[in-house]
Amino acid sequence: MKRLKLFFVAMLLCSVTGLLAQTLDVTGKVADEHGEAIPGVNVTVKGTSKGVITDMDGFYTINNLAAGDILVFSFIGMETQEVQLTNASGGQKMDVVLRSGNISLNEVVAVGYGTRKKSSLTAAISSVGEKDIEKTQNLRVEQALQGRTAGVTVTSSSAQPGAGMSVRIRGAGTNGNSDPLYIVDGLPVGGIDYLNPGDIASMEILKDAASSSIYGARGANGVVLITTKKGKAQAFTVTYDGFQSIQNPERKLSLMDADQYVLFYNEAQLNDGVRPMDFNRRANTDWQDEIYNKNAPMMNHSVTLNGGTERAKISSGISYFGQEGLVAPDNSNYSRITARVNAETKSHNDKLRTGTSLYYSNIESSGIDVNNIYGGPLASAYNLDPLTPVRDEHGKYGVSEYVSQGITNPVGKMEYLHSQTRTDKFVGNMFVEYSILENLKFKSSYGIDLAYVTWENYNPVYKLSPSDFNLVDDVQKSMTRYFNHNWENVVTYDLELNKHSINAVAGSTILEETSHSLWGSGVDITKTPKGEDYAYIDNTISDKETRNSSGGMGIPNRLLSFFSRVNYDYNEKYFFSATFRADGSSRFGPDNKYGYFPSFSGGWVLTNEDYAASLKSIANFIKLRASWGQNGSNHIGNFVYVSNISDAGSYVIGNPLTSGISMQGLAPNTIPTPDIRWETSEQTDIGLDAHFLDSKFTFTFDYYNKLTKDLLLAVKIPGHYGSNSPIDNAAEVRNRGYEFEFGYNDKAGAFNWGVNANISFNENEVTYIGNDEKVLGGAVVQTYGLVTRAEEGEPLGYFWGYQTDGLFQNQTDIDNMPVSVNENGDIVKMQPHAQPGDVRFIDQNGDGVLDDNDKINLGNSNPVYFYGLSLFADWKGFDVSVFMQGAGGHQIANLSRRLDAGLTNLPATMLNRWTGENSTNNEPRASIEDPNKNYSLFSDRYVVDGDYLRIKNVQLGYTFSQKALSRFKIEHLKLYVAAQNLYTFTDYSGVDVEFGSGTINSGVDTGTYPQARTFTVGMNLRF
Amino acid sequence: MKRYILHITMALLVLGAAACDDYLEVDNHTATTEDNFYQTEEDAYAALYAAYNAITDDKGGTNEFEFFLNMCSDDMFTGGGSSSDGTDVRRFEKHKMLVTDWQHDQFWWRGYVGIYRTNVALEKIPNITFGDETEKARILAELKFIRAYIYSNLVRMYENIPLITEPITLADADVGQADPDEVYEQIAQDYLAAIEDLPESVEGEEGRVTKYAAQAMLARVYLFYTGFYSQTDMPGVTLNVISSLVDNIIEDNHYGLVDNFADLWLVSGSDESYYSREHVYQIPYSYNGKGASRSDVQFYGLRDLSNTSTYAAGWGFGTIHPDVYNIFDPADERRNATILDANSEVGENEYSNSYQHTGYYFKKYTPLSKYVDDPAFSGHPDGRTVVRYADVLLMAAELSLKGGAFTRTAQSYFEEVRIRAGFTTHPPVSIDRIFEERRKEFFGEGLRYWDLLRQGIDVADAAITNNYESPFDVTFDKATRGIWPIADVQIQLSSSSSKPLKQNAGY
Repeated sequence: MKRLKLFFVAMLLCSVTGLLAQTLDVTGKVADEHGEAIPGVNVTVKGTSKGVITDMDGFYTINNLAAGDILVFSFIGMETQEVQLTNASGGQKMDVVLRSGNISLNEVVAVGYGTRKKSSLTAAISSVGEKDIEKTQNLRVEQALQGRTAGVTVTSSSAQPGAGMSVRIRGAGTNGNSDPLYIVDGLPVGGIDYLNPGDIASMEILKDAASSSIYGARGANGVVLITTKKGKAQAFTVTYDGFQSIQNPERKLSLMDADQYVLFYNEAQLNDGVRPMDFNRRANTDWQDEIYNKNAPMMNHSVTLNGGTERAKISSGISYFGQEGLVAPDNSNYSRITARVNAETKSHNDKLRTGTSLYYSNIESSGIDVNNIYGGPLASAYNLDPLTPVRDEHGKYGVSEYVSQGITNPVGKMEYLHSQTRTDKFVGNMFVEYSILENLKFKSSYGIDLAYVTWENYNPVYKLSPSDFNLVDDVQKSMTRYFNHNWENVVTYDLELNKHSINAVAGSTILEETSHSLWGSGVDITKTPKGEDYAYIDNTISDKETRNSSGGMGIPNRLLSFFSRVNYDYNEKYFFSATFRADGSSRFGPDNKYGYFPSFSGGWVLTNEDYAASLKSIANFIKLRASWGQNGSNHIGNFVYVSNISDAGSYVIGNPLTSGISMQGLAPNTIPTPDIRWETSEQTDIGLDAHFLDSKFTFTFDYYNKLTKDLLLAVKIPGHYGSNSPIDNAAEVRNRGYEFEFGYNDKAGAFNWGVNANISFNENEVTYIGNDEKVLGGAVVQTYGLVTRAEEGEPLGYFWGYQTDGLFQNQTDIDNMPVSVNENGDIVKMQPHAQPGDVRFIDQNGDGVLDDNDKINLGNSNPVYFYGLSLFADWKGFDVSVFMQGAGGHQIANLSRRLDAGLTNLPATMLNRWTGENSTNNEPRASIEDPNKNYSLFSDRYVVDGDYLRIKNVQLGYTFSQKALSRFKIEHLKLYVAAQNLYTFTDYSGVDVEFGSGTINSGVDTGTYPQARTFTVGMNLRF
Repeated sequence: MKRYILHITMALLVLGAAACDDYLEVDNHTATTEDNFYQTEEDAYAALYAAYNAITDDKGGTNEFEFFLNMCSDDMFTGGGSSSDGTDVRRFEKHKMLVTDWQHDQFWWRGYVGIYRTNVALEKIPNITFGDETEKARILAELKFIRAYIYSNLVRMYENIPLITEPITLADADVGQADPDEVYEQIAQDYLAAIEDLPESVEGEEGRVTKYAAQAMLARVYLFYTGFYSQTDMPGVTLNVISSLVDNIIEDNHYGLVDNFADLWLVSGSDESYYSREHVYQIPYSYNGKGASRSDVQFYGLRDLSNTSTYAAGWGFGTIHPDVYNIFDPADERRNATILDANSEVGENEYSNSYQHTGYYFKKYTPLSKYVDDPAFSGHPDGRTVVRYADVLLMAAELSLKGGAFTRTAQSYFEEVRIRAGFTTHPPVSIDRIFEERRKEFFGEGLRYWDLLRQGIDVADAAITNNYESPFDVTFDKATRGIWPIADVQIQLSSSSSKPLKQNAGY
């Protein structure tokens, strides 16, 4: 048959050209200028309809060509290249390099349970590729997402090594856990801190319901699909990536020094009518300097092996990442070792494909209390007076004479902290895919996620102050084993009929998450010498009273799901997609175990219409998209639907005066809520993708409206239920907004440059609360009380406090303040203790009484807009990139000052205090007693705009030319220097402006960890 | 080959679907939930003790309901430290209760906490296998007793209450208020069912209820219902049935009067104050480490006592008018056991006067140094008398006069109570004399207010409305018929249901 075909082809060629027919088979790889394979490149024979498309790894094979044929390699967003074949081309590899272009329509992106060409997407999906990830020195995967795409906010509420980051996709829609679902190579994982960012090939963010509803019950907060680096059918390569950095705090709080401190408090005492005390000026300590670790090192080394054939490909790697904290280097640090193998094979006439991936991660971290006003070295450094020396004349840690409570010598505190967490995590996944028919594939995959987490803590004997001491040392240890596994079966069917193309997916998945834990403790380490090295439970006094242990199981969480999706495409012009998923969860009662999540989406490529042909010279691609769908969230913990049995008091059997015995009663503490169901998020998305000037300029726009219904929270019920408030579906939150992404790439000779920018606008509103008050309480902070809450018609978690109107400048101002008449008929001033120089609070309801009814919405921590901007350019091997990121329109409550701990150190801004009529209208007079509650009432004085723009990363690199390297058998070598967090533009005076948002109690700064300004030198080497 | 794979795939998907119901059922092996509790005999007992606990902890905020009933009756005044002390308690005394008074919210939900505990236990315990099935029947009978007891208190206080006899769920929000007759019928059913399976004696397990307690409590509810609603029978109980039940208590001879009335109270120092042969049912309160101290006791004590050899200081509530003191014949042994004449027994200068001061305080429950000062107690372990044999006798006399069949005569029951009080001569028994006797016998035990109401609103009004000068003046509010208001907060919380709670008349 083959021979026959050859014969005819040959005959045809002979008759037309009259030349001697000699057929050529050409094969090769298409890559970009960095050597990265480009899948989906159109390879056509000029003047004919003959053509192929490169595979996932950039390879193509095209048969039966003749010398003189011209092969055209085209890929949108890249320069088209033509190559003429000669006789010598036959049987040779013909590799082609396509230049430039960053956004490509034919780029293939991961969607749930499959991949799809970007140009045919009907849903809002953003992707972050390997190159974006490499541009910054990330320690966590989440950082690689920050500022890269519209609609994704990534914030760190602490810059402590190993601290988690909050990732919010299109705002926060739940009262509980708003984290997205992470799927790594098809396996859902609990967190992604185990991953070395360098092992990631791409990340796709499924933002709208059309894309994420295939993940049903867990997709309400968006889904992040992570694909790790896979082996490629290429010669074996070894890649080394490494960098070494030094870190210093980006900023310090501006606090008073000893002179300012004494001046301020002496004046305060005079104002309070107290004779100024004689301050004992033992030192002028800058506690922040004392606890900061100068030039704290951070380093990363990773080696990756990659290579194989079409039949067997392998990628493996090991990496080490280590970071010392900016504060307390011994107690705030993080290290991670990872090792991985990824292998794929093809066999049985390429019908059978198998893959195995194994990932091991070992993480050791220790941290200090962050954003904790009650204690911890940071809160102490921010609040301890500068008069206390680090060490007193006897060499002991200095004890403050003026500050009390948990605020004690932070240098001493750091020494006495001994807490460490060690995690061993294995993530493994294996799949088998069989092509039953050419267009019908079955894939089965099984994955496990096993983690052992060990926590150890040792409290030595110490005394830092009369209230902060430990008389007997103690040690605790806990171990928890987490085991999750997941089995998935998916059938894929593709059909192409003329211009109609259908892709259908159906499958099921079954998931189980379990945990077991063991905890033990002991007091009084008897072994000598004492110390951390001997801090084991076995070394403590052994008796029943002092050695404790406990152990238990976590309730298994099980999920059983069925899903399907149909994509339809007519002539690359009209697209339609529908998905449906049914999820069964063990977390819900028998009647609500299953949730059903549909979605529909459609797209229209305007530029593929015949009548739009004239448009093509300006806009080569315009697509309109619309989608609607539903998602769920089962982040409610287990067994909420049944009632827990708890202590129900006791009853005495027998005579209580003599031999009676008290018998324990047990009863349900709440009524069961068997009807409890998924939180459902319903989202509509309208989008536009456009490419202009041959894709030099790209633009994406999305509008979304996301309503999270049936939010789970504790509801107040009538007394005749005889029960405490159960958890039920009782609130609704809406997030809606706009997202814009822009890209521009151009070149002038050897100079390539480009800009990528994105900006998102989000509006968050609580639309319904199912309790009588229509209000939910949020964060409570010492002295200030309840400072955030949620309310119908307001954003989730707004700052709730008093509005102020400057200061009382003189007695006339005081005489004019609002008054009320009390029950004895006396006229009472609203602020009875006010004096000139005190804060004037606003009586919102005009009743002359200052109370909760006068508290209003003072702002909230949900950014109105957030954006990212990256600039890059390269010229003859030199490249530079700048990445900036920011947010605005939101507020932060700066409550890092402890009011109940005595004469704490104060922000230097308080020196601009009121000292006489019209001296200032901002900072009230100095006072310790604070009779007017200038400081202790939570007011707009503490709520500060959180707008910022941060120069996140600047990198300057040089890539050696192939020519220079080939002598050393080196394929690629790049050296670079980089700076992170170089500068932040903000008016915020706290230590870090980047603050978490999106829960009812976020946005409150009670003394956080500074961001590191990091300078790095690094190298990428491949041979 | 292809076909096999297809078949296998289909089979896997189908199997997955079939196995799913089991797969999604998970158990919690360390925490106790409603699903894995109620499995063993121990679980059943724990559920029973939880239900019993509910009736020890049914306070309206600070006090048991008997305290407020005493204030509502013509027996006591609020007293306390000053005019601003216990202003909410005083509104009970003055019959000017507010819908916002927190006691009503507390009585309501605490009552229903007990109802919920009994309903759940009554549903779950029948499925538990017991070694001795009669013990299971007994526990179920006790739960029914407790449920009937709580409902009988709630229906008398608030009249229009939701009737819930199964474990409630959030979906049952529209339960609404029941016709009081339905509630009384349920009470009758529960008590009658309990009588079947309760034992005659609880020796060694005092605190648990006997069948006689159920019989006596049913008689009390019967008399209230037939009196308050002017009916001859109560739904589910006829005069004949109740008479034979009361007669049975007396004829079975398990109970009798203690010789000395004063011995019934802890202040006497007698060991008969707990579980004597006269206590048909008494709720135990205990001491340090063994449950709750009895809170009413603290309220009734004298203020700022300087000599604490016997009495410990309290808060001076529950002052008693001299006119009330004087209803007792000086020869009546009950007078000095019931009322503390503070000025003569303690001394005028040994304590601080209460507001609404009279010098007379309630003595049956008063703080005692012996227990307050003993670290093993640190409180008031006074038992809360629910029903005494004296009450059984007087109810028998009353039922007999109403035509019930009894073994002995009404006169003999009446005299038995009077003889113990120290009388040797007796007038002929009559309904009015029975009520007079009841007032003196059960003074301060929370029965008087209901005894007044069941004689009719006019009788209650005549007794409660007085012409005393302020601050002793009280005017009964006939518009309320003596029923208490439903807490406003409960009405608000039910407002979203299809059957929101309706406020009682007069509020």
